[in-house]
Amino acid sequence: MTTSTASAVPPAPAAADGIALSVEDLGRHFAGVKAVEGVTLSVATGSRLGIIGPNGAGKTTFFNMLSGELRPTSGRIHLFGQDVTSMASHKRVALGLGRTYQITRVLRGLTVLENLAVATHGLSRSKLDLLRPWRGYSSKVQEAEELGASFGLGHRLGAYAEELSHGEVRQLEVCLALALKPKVLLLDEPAAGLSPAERVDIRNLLNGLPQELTLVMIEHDMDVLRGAVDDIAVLHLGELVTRGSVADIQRNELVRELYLGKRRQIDRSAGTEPADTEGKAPHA
Amino acid sequence: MNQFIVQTLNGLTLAGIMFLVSSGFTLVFGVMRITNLAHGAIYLLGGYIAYSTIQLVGNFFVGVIVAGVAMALLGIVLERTLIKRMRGQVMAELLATLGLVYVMNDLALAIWGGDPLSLRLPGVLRESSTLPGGIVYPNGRLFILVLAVAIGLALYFLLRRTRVGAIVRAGVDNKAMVSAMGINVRLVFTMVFALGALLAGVGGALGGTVLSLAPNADAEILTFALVVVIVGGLGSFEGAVLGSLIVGLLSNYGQAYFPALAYFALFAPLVLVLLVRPQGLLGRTAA
Amino acid sequence: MSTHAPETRVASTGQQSFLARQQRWVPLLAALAFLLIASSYLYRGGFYGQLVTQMLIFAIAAMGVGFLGGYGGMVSLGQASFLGLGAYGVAVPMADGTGPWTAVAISLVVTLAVALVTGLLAVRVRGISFVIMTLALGQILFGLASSWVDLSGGDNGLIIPVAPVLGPLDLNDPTVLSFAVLVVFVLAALALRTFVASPFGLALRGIKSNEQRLKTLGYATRLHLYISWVISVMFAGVAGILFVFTNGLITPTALDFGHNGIVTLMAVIGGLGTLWGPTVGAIVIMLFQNYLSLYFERWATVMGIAFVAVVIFAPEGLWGLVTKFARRLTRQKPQPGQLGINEVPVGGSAAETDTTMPDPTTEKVQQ
Repeated sequence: MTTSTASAVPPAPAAADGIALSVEDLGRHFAGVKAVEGVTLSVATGSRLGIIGPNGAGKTTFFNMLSGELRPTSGRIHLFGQDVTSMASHKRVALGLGRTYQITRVLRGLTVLENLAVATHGLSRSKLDLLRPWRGYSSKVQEAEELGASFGLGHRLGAYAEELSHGEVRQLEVCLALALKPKVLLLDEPAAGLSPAERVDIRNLLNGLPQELTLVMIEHDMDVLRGAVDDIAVLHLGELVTRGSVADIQRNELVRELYLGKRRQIDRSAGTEPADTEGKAPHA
Repeated sequence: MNQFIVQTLNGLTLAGIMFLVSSGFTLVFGVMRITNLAHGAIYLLGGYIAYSTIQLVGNFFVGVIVAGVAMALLGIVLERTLIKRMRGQVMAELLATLGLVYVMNDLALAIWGGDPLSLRLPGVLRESSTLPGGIVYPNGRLFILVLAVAIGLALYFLLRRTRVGAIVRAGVDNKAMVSAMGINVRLVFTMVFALGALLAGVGGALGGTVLSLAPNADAEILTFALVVVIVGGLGSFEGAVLGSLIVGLLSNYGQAYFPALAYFALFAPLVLVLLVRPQGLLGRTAA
Repeated sequence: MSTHAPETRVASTGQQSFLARQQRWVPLLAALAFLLIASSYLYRGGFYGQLVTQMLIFAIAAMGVGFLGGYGGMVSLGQASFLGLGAYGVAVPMADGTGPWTAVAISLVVTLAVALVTGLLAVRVRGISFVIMTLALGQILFGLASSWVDLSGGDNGLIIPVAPVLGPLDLNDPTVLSFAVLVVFVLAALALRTFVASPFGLALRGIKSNEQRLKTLGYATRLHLYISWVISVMFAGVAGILFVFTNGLITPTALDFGHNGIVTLMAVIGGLGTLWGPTVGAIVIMLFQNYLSLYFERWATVMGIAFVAVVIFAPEGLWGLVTKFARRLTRQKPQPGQLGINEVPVGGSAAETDTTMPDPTTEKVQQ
């Protein structure tokens, strides 16, 4: 990945203990329903953590709290040593946090290039420029073009976001997050709904990410996780059940029980929650 | 002190009329996600129809009933012809109702003219009663108060205690589920819209006795209703009650004691709510 | 022509058709033609001159609605009231004896102040609640204009004694004044075009599409919406200044619900999300109001029905339709739904634009 100096992200404040992201006793409930409860974990800078758990385990709620879209009802979140628990989303982004969405949120009504261009201005004061045409920012436009090209969207820059195939949308989704040169990237089920061939692309994409990037990834597909993450945390009914290396988790009896078989129908239609036949929903 | 009590009663009367109008509005929004900007025009039309009915028949109560029924029928027609075509496009529906405002206002102008009209109350309601404490208060206004409370209770009972009401409330929360349960959602929609129109029509008939009926009255009552639902919370029935009380009382006190700044009385609750709790006092999701 | 479409859209065959290559010249020629036609009417003065002048004034106001609504996704129903504010902003000081240029300055300052303050409220809500809030604000301004008699002259309104003089140009001469209006219109249109093509405008479209996403791309979205609100209100204020000089007076009626609705009607019927839609809408609606009304007493009914028809059958607006057909003619790809009212986000739960089931776990954080 080319790292241009066009939009300079302030260097991540070096946390004394090399922890990029940590949460203490993080919880969120909605009128009595505990979506996330008492989660404590930390992610070292430069490491890669996978998060798995049956549907309804609270994984996306967890991410929503990390990115600032949802306020926790208990606990704290620290990003590079700084307490961001009640910090607005865009400020966390300025500190180096990036995220993608499981139900993709690319910008419809804008072309791929425009999507990327919006992202490149995200951390720069130029986003408030009312006078110069955005196409006039040649370095940013080039940055956007190169970013798109490096993710196989080079020939689709003029297409509108709603015209893209599901796989392309997912790539754009990741592109957008990467445009801000995050230090910590939250990937929410990047492989959801993709065909096996497209999954290979995702694995290549993950391999191509910068080494120093801290990654937290929610995924169901073990093939995607294996080789992409160092360890895996298991969430169930909103609680952190266990954490270990990929191999440990795969061997773990408890985890296996929770999942009760990992084969499931994958719904190919864009953006839908994969229809899930895995496991009796342990939220009986 | 007596003067204050009279003003309070006046405020409650105003609140009663506002409640009738805003409860219909908020119900339609809650169930169908439709912002019916023509709601004020329906109020006005109801008032005008009551006026003409009374001219014809000589009976005030018949006028009120006819107004309600006529507006309910209009509601059914509008829902079946127009709203259905929007297929749930919320912003389009809002704008379509805006277009309706011009049509309805213009036709009303053609039929009833531009001069303000007001409804004459029947004999006993034109008199005043002496309330405990020696306060003399017009029966007509007391009638409005009593009727508004009665209708409010009836609505509450309908929504909270009957199966129909449960369906309506479920529809507010989750339309798809209601439909999946085999309930004829289309019918529910039409009935709710008709109910909203009925309430507005009755509101117009009653309102015509204390407020005048004239070409801009629809905008005025619509404004009240909108402030009420913003303050109370879009889609919340109880919010309409609370909002009506707040806005009705404040507005009336403002009018009575600080006439030049009466509009600030409307402004204040609106601003406060938007600053502190934008979804409304009893509103649920963030607006 | 929407400028956010890249200049050279190639037809699917890979060959640019003859018409497509000429496309670059069309907007320029159309603009020149428009200016020429308008100028000829203005020059001749009289009924048509006045009509065209008013069209231009309301086009400016409608452009404000179009900018905020079509590009920012927030539809305002209070624009006429802000126009009235701009008008009263001139009339009130002048009633007190102030000179015209000073009054203009005062008006701009007052409108700006009101925009800055109301903007703080405006950005607290989205979608339908925003529409309702602007309606309420507009009505409150209307109420103030009617009831604050000492200041506003009440229902009789205020009269403007004299228009400003700009060097050799005496704006008291109606023809000179209407050309001044034309100049301001052109400037407003150019400003709009510039804003839309800027990174700010791009961000605005992004916010309209998915505000939450923009937040996680580093945007403090409220700031963009706030600034857009202020810009939109200032468009109305400027239109109000022109309005009060060309009409010679301002009454509260100009701020009422009917007028507020009409300005929004103009933007919508022309086409939200297009540059020229609001202008087209202003022309059409003013023709209804001032031309059709000569022949048909129930013109308002016709206008209302026409509006409803556009909303149902052509949500991209009249100009939106024209651009759609122009694209077909030049064999370009149709531009997917960006135009029109169905692309405006409606608030409620977080704006999810491409999902079948809204994520029940996202609840807006008060940021």
